[in-house]
Amino acid sequence: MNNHILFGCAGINSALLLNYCLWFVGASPVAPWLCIPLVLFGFLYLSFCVFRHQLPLWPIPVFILVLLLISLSTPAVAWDARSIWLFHAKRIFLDENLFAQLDNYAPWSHNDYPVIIPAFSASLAGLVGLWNEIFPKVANVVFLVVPIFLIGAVLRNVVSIIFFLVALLYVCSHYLHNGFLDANVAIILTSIVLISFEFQKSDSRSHNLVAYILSTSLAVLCLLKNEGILLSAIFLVLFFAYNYLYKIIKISKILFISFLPFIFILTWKYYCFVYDVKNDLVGSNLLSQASSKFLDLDSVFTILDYVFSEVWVAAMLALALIAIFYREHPFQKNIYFTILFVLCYVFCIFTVYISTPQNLSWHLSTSASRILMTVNVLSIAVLLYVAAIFFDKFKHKVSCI
Amino acid sequence: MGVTKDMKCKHGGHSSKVMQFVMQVSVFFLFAYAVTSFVYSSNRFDFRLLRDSFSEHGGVLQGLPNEVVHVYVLAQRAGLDRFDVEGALLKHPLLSQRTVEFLYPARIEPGSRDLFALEGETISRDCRNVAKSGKVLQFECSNE
Repeated sequence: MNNHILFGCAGINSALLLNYCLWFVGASPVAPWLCIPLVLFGFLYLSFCVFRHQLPLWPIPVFILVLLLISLSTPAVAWDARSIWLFHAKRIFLDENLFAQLDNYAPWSHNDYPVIIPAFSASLAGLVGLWNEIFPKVANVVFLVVPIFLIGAVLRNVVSIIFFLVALLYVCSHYLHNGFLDANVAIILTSIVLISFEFQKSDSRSHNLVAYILSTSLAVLCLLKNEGILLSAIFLVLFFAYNYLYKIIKISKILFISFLPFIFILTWKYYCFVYDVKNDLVGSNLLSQASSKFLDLDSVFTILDYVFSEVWVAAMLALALIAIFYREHPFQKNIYFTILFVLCYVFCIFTVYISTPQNLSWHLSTSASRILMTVNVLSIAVLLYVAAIFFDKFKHKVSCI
Repeated sequence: MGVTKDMKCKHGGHSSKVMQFVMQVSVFFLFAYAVTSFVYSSNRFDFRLLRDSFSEHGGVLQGLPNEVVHVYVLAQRAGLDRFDVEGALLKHPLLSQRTVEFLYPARIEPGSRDLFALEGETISRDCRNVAKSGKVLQFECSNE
């Protein structure tokens, strides 16, 4: 991987977390004037590095600029975007307090949800000195910069990158810019899984930089949504297990990677606990709901039906077949990691739905496609990662004819 | 012979270059088409909103129901920091949630002196109409 790209991504991730930390400690007037220029500079630096050092990544800055343009040309209308994320951001901006929502006013806005993106939206509003229905929504696109550049840097090949971006338009569609965070979760998780593959081949000097990016990306993922915490936990457990089996990196590095996300999410959850703000799911009687639905086979089949209709099973099967047929290839264990990750995540999602206090059909129809988007983005990215390896080999063979 | 083979591998044959060129051009057009169609199929996309992106109340008319905008106008005029709603403004989730979000920092508080409801709706409390904007009526209620 190109170290310039890694350096730029590490810089932007640091600026995003710094913005959150500044709001956290009450330095709200500093955050907009320090962090937004840093992020802007980071994006310009990455774009410069693309044209100077890694030209196949050129579609990425173009793609991000197009998303910015769309985000600035559409009002915020999506339900979760307005009622949860932008409302939290507005409260942070007007109250000049990261914990504004913890008074539990308007409980339907899920006041326990983490606030890294609302904090950045509040900084954007602080920069222009006013709140409106368009500009703060740009924060979502800003949080896509690092993961998309990282995925591009792993895929390397311009054809794979373009196919990935087109697939994102198809899979994530308007969730890329409408203020929902599900596309952010899916793309950040995918970038985390893909850069973790790089530990197997990078030299030890870039290992430290990759470990730092992995740690900061996991911290961002945890502070995006509660699903992010679940995904980070699954990733870290599997990564630890894989490292135990294949000795990829030192255990101290895994502890370093886990430390930052753990501290960030622990502090947020501690404040939720202190202010007695509960999650609607955790605050309900999970066990009795789960047992009653388990006994009702209709509920189980309804969930499975949604899962199988939303997840691209063909992509997962293709990955499994590639892993079986190319047993000796180093990417085989990466594919197994991906499949295992997807199975664990789908199992957790199944558990969440089986114990939901909401009406099951309503809960599934309003969230299943968004939550399972992660699985599809990840499987496409890993397929393209494998395709890029084959494509490089094919290119080399053709050029030798 | 080995040197010739290496040179061919390094520089690539003519056919491979043509193949790569055709592939990259096709993929470029796929990208351009996908991005352009995505821009124009985006829900409520409007280039004119670009200039409103940095102005106060930018996107309000496009993003909010009219009733909510009228409640906001009345609340701003009266300088309220607490308010109550009844009828559709309370029962319809879209109107109710948008009102709470958009009027913030003014907070909804059941039993507040100032109450909003839509024209033609029955008010359960003892209130008198003090202002009107669009189809929204503002009432002043006794706190008993």
